[in-house]
Formats: sequence, C-alpha cells, structure tokens
Amino acid sequence: MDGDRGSIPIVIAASCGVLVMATVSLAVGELAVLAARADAAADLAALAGVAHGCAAARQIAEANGARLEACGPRGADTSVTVTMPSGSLVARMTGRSLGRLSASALAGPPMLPSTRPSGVQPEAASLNGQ
Amino acid sequence: MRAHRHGGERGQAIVELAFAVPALLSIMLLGMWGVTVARDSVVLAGQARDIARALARGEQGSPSDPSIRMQQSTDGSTVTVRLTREVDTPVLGGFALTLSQSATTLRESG
Repeated sequence: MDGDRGSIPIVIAASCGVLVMATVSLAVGELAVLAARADAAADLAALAGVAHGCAAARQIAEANGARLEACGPRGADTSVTVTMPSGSLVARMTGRSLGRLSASALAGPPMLPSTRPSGVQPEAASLNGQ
Repeated sequence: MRAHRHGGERGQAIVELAFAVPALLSIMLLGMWGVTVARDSVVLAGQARDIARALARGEQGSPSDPSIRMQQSTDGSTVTVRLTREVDTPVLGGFALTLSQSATTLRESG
C-alpha cells in the first residue's frame, strides 16, 4: 500500500524529466536549423561579395534572414561572417553562447584555375562564431 | 474504514497513472517528432541554397524528394528558391505542419 502513495512523486519526476527532455530537444533542433540557415546565408553572401562587393554581400545576407557582421578580402578571396538574429529566446541564448548562430564563408574568384571550382568553402562555418 | 480509504488511494493512483503515462508518452513522441522536423528543415535549407546557387548559374536544380515543393522567383538581380514540405504530426491527429526554407542569391550575369 505504501507503493501507491509513492507513485505521485514518481509521476511528477517523470513529468519533469520528459518536459526537460522535450524542451532541450526543441532548442537543439531549432539551433540546428538556425545554424544551417546561417551557413547557407554565409555561403551565398560570400559568393555575392566576391562578385559584387560587400554591399551585395550585405543585401544577400539580409535577404536570407541573416545580418552581415564582417566582410572583407582575405588574399584573393572574400571572407564574410553572418549571424542569425532570429529564433526563440532559448535558441538565441544558447546559440550565442555556443557560437552556433554565426557562420563564416570564404569565396574566391571563379576564374582562377584553382582546386576550388565552386568557389565556396562552407567549412569553418559556425566553428569560429562571434 | 481504513481499508476503504486505502482502496480509494489505490484507485486514485491508478487513475493518475492512466492519465500521466499516455500524456508523458505523447510529449516524448512530440519531442522525437520535433527532432525529425528539425532534421527535415536542415535538409530543406541546404537544398534551397544549392538549388538557388545552381539556378543563379543558369543550371537546373530540383529537390531530392518528390514530397518537397519548390517555388522560385526572380526579383531584379536575385533568385529566390523556396522549398516547402508538409509533415504530419504523430499525436495531434493528422494536423499537418508545413516546413518552409528559402534561399536568395545573386544571379550571375554571363
């Protein structure tokens, strides 16, 4: 009979656990989506930047829902960094502290006979946040 | 009297469990579904970027999956690709959620 009374705390504990799990998975999922969009915005902004300058990079970053944080030449390439200003409060806070809401991309001139035919290096995105 | 009260408590505990267990399972299911929604959205965002890039170069592009719908629009010097996909929710009974991701890029002239 004592077992019956014990079920209430168990139910409460299980509820808390499940709610925390659901919240965390939602935040992580949202963060993953925002990071993917930041990557895409950085790639496309870098390509615009190398072709038409940083004003074009800003236009494309904003058209993709991102904000251009840095843009400039790196050697013959153009390097851009963007951040995603949107998202829920939880995702924004954790994303900013983890650097997951910014992404960088490097694009080079298309005509160079280099080993980089597409001109895009989507790497490094989000690892060098802030 | 005492036995009667114990019986009531026991019934209450069973009723609590009868509500709590399905509710918790539903929330867990929704959480797992949220992860697949996020994964699908990441895929959509990546494909939108790739297709926008291909169209900007004057090439063709189409989504990898027939359940993904594509809208493309051109505005002056830019190309926008919007990919949408409907996903069903598991618990809320057929309520369909529409995922949408878009990408905009500059058209390359020449």
